[in-house]
Amino acid sequence: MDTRTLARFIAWSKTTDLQELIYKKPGASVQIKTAAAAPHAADFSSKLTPVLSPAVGIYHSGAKGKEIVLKENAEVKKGAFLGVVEMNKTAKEVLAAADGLLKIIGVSDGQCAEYGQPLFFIEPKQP
Amino acid sequence: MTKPETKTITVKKFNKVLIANRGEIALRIIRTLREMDIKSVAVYSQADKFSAHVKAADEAVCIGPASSKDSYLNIDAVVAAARLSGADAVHPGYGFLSENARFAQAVIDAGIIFIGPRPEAILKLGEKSRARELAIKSGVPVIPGSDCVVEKNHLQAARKVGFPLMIKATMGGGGRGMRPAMSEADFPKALDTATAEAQAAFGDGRVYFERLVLNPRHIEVQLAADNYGNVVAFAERDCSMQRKNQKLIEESPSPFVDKKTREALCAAAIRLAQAVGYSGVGTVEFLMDESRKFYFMEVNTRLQVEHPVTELVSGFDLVRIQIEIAQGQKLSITRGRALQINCHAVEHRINAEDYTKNFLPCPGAVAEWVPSGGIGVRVDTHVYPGYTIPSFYDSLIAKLIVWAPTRGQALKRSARAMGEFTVRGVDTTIPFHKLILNDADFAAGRMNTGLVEKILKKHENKK
Repeated sequence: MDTRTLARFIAWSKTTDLQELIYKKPGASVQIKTAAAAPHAADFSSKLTPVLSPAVGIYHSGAKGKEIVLKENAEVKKGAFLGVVEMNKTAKEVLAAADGLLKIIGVSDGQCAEYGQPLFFIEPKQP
Repeated sequence: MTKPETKTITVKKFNKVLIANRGEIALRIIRTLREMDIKSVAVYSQADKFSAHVKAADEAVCIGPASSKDSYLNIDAVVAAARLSGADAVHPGYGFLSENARFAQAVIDAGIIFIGPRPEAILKLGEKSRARELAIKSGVPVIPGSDCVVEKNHLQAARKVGFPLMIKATMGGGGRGMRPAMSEADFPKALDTATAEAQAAFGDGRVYFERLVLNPRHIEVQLAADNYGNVVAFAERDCSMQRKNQKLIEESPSPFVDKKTREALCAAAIRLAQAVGYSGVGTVEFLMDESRKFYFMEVNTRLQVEHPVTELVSGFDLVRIQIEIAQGQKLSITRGRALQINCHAVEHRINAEDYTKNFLPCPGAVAEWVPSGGIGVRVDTHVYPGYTIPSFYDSLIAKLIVWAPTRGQALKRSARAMGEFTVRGVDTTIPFHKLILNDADFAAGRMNTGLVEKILKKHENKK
């Protein structure tokens, strides 16, 4: 492909919302990526609400008299019991931070957690 | 004297140690662990996420929010972090949980070694009245006192204690509810006032008496004791330069203590340690009067802020000694070697405080930070340029320690190093240390626990 055609190709691609274009024929191939295709810096904002570990310790999905089965995409109510983090001799309850769908379960029974570590992510219910 | 326990002690090298502390002391401990090829685990609160000790450690665990009560003072959280990280031992540093027997016991109950004395020893020595009883039993001089509440025959009891004396409220504490009686003539009036004040402040008018030590010096003896009954004492530290019981400058050896007094001090401290079967490092604090008579005050069952002066004078790493003892090793130092004085060392505590405003703490961002250096200078600090001093914890930001062959040379070096130390962004006590270094009484070694207040007043009057 000669440079004039290539220039016209690039100019045209800018009129579209294409992010990436691959053109191949025997003897020639062109791959164009626009700036929009590049990974963004870490300033993404998530619509998901994190549920943070209330303590440093071991996470358990159940506690005495409270057995629960957590499933991704299950509906949860704000304040719902999501397990406990057991420190040395005390345990702190993990409670849902919002009404919505349990989108990500980032911890499993018996895993270690630091104070403030995100354990779950909830997609809040649209009002 | 309690005989050392006959249980067998196994010597086992630690692989990993958790430091239950923050700031300069956490960093100080990590350094020795690294030299000993032991992995370090830092714990931190959310306010300390960017603290130097978190970066310096091999591992770091967030244990709670900013407030100390929920993080560095939270026994369950610290023990949980130790268990999760697989630490063999916990080093408590100073302050926070370092003298908490319940914490030491919780660490032991979790199957982890506590780098410090046994919880029973912490309990026995931590309670003032019990420690005093122990001191009396082991022949360590204590400040003469009524030893109990005086309910009747006040004057007779006072005569027995001797004048000048201090009338103290039974329920008082922290300097409150105290009245001096300089002589027998002063006594009736002082007693009336003290009883009335105690009644008003604490709802309990009962009092006890204690001999008043005039113009005392604060002299303390560093000890190290192993699990086999061996105890050594190091040359004394003079911590008379203090304000409201907060030490500002510590030095070793004391310019006031002679060889004979030093030997008597050390012998007394060793007797007390042996009486409780002490193990680990610890410090016995004394008050010394103008005739070099000394009286037992209290025992600190931990490493102290001012431990570096002893390290420089003796040439030993006290944190290493602590760890070796906790690993079950025997002390490798003889009493004679521990008492050897290799130089004169002075420590200046640099706090983020404005001394012109009653030492008001000044937390905030440190814009410029150039610590002093050069020959005979050691700076223990956790501060770096751009660091923000959190408002949640104490205001100690650096310890400037100097050493030289003589006290005169060491003070010259202090002045030189203090001049180099540049901090912008927050107020520090550096200007106040410069004032002290210019004081004739301090330069001549004529210190007592009231000198700092006197220098402050002199300076205020000049303005």
